[in-house]
Formats: sequence, structure tokens, C-alpha cells
Amino acid sequence: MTKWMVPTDKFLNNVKVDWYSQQQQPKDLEYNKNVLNEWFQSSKLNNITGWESMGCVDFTMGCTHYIESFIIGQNGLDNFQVLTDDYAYYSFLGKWGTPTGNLKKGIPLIVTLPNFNWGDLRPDWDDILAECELKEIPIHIDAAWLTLSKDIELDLSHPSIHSIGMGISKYALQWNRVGLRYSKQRKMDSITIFNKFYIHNCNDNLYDCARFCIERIPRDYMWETYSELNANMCNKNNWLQTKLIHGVWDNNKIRCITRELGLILPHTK
Amino acid sequence: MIKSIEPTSEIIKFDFLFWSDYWRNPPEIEISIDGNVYANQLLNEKYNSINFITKLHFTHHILQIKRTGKTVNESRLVNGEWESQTAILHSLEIDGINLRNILWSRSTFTPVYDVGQSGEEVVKGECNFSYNGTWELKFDSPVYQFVVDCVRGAK
Repeated sequence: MTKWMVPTDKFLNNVKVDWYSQQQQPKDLEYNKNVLNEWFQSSKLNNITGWESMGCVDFTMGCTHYIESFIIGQNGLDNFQVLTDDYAYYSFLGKWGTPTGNLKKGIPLIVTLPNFNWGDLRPDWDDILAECELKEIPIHIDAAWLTLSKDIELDLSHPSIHSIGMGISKYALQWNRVGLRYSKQRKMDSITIFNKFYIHNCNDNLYDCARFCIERIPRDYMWETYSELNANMCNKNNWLQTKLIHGVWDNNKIRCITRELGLILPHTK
Repeated sequence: MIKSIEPTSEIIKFDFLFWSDYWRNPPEIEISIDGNVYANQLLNEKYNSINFITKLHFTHHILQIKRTGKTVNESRLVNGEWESQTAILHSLEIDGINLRNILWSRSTFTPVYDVGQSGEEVVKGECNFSYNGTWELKFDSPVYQFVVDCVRGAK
């Protein structure tokens, strides 16, 4: 199994340097949220539709927060399910994955999209959508890798999709990790608490920083900047492109090429 | 940017767990929200799970349980001890949240006493329905907001 490394470059690193070296002006919560919301929706390389169906937009502290808040909202570890070949964190939570076709009726499903095993949506994604609709299974999508993707098509208005979490950390912003949760209905969980009850001065610094960073980073920065390099590397090494900038098929095995793309800075090695 | 529109309603699951005991006829309960009846049934002995899903607009609501079926003939003295028809609301989860203390502190039960019986006109927090009557809980939607407001004393 390949070891995934978040790509970075001098430009992204300089955003961090700028944040720490420049004088900052605080903005209010709604302003920061609008900037993030607009940024997530502004991808020209992916086709994400149905945003308007996700009426509840809330700050998160990244997709791990999204996952953990989801579990709290479902009242614990026994009340959700995951698919096979999904994020290892789920197995740390005691979930070993259910194959498509065997999902339990009515039990919420959390799924990682794009999936790093394929560098794409899962190949059985359409079947999963159909099964979940038939069995009335709410789907919650952990879209942590979406920022590094292209050509991803997703209709958020699908009746089975109840929420999606996105984060900025994959643009070498692990030091901030802010994200947004888009959901059709809030439940009692930590994200709801943070956004609806502790809103005054809560994480202002974190959200200001996230807004500062993405105002400087185009939404499709990685693919716009490195698509040619990615294509050349694939041609040269007989790799097949995936939809992730830093993932390829190498002899039918998925492989992280962050290092080969030169997207590792000395301090991130 | 596509503007998301904050919802004005939510889909909420209600999970009731009743406990009942009787020697002759079972108790009957009718569950309604804002006058719309979602369940109307006789209770079996021991535990009874009743659940339904409904759409709630973001406003005030009244949840009611009408308990019927109790007459003086449902109670008898056996070896010096009373056996009687009983119906108890054991627990209520709304949107997966067990309301517990909220039920005990905010609900009311208005008994209908038989001839010759008397007691409080309205009993606060009573979930043991020894008499016929109407149990009531006033709550708001969104439910998460209502629960937090209750817990932190803002309501």
C-alpha cells in the first residue's frame, strides 16, 4: 500500500509565512464563512451540483471533526456503518466495512469521496446510491481529498445524501484544518454546538486564518499548476492518471507521487 | 456562489418506550403532535416500542399522549395487594436524544379521576399514568436548539 503525502510547494508555504508575518485584520464569522463557502463552490474542474439543497452550512475544524461529530450525532459507534476499502480511521473506531449490497436498512453511512484506493469516486458509487435510496440509508460524505481532485461529479441534492464535509487542509494547510459541513438538517452534535451556541468569539483566529489562506489560493490550484507535470510524469513512467493530482495507477496499483512531482519541501520530508 | 437556503423545517424521529401491566384489559394510548395523531393503540404487557417520523416546522409544538382504558374494574385486591392496569412512559427519544430530565421537569399530566377519586389537577413531570388522562410536552423545533436551551436554562 502506498503512503499518501499531502503535496506542498513554495507558494503554499509562503501563504503560511505571510499569515505569521503580516498584521491581520479580523473579519466577522459570517464573512469568513461566506468566503469559504464561495471558495469550495468555485471549482471549475469538478462538477459538484445541488449546493442549494444543503441549507445548513457550518464551520468545522476539518474532516476528522466532521467524522467525529457525525458519530456523536448518530448517538455513538453502534449507530452508523461504513463500506469496505474505506478510510482506516473508521477501523480504529471498530468498523470493518460492509460490502456494497449488504448495507443495513436505515443505518447512516459515512463514506470517503474521492476514495484514495481508486483516486476517484468508488467504482460502485452508483450502486451505493441506489442501495441507500432503496434502504432509506442516509449518506454522509467525507470529502477531505476533494480539493486535490478534478473531474469529480457529485449531485448533493440526491435524496440519500444528507451531508458532506470539506476541508482546506490538503492544500498544505494541516496547520489550520478548517472546513465546512454542508447538511440538509442539523443534528445535536459538536459542529452544531460550535456553530449555533458558542458562536461569539469561538475560533475567530482559526477562521480568520483559513479565510486569509484561501483568499490567496485558487480553489483548483494544484491541478491548474501541476496538470502538465502530472501528465508528463505519467507518460514518462507509463502511469495512468487518477483524479487526484498526487495519485496514479502504476501497474494496476494505486501510488502516491507527491515525491515524484517534487511537491515536498525540505521541512515536510 | 449558489446560496444555500436555511431550512424552515426538519424531519424528526420520535421513539417512545412504554411499559404496561394489566390483569384484565390493556391500557390504550393515543399519541399526537399539534393535534395530528401518529399512534393509537393498546399496549401489550411489559415494554412497547412506538416510533414514527414526522416533519416539524421551526416553531412551537405540543406533544400529547391520551391515556384511556382505565376504569375501577381494572383494579383488584389480591392477597391484600392491589393489582391494577398501569401505563408508564419509560423513555422518549427525539432525534436520537433521550429527553430524560426534560420530560420529568417540563411535561404535565392531567388525570381524569374516577368517581370517588381525587388528586392534583395537573401533575408536573408525571410519566406514570395510573389514571386516564392527557400527558403533554410543549417543545420547539429545531429540536437540538430546544434541548440545548433547556439544558443551559435558557428556556
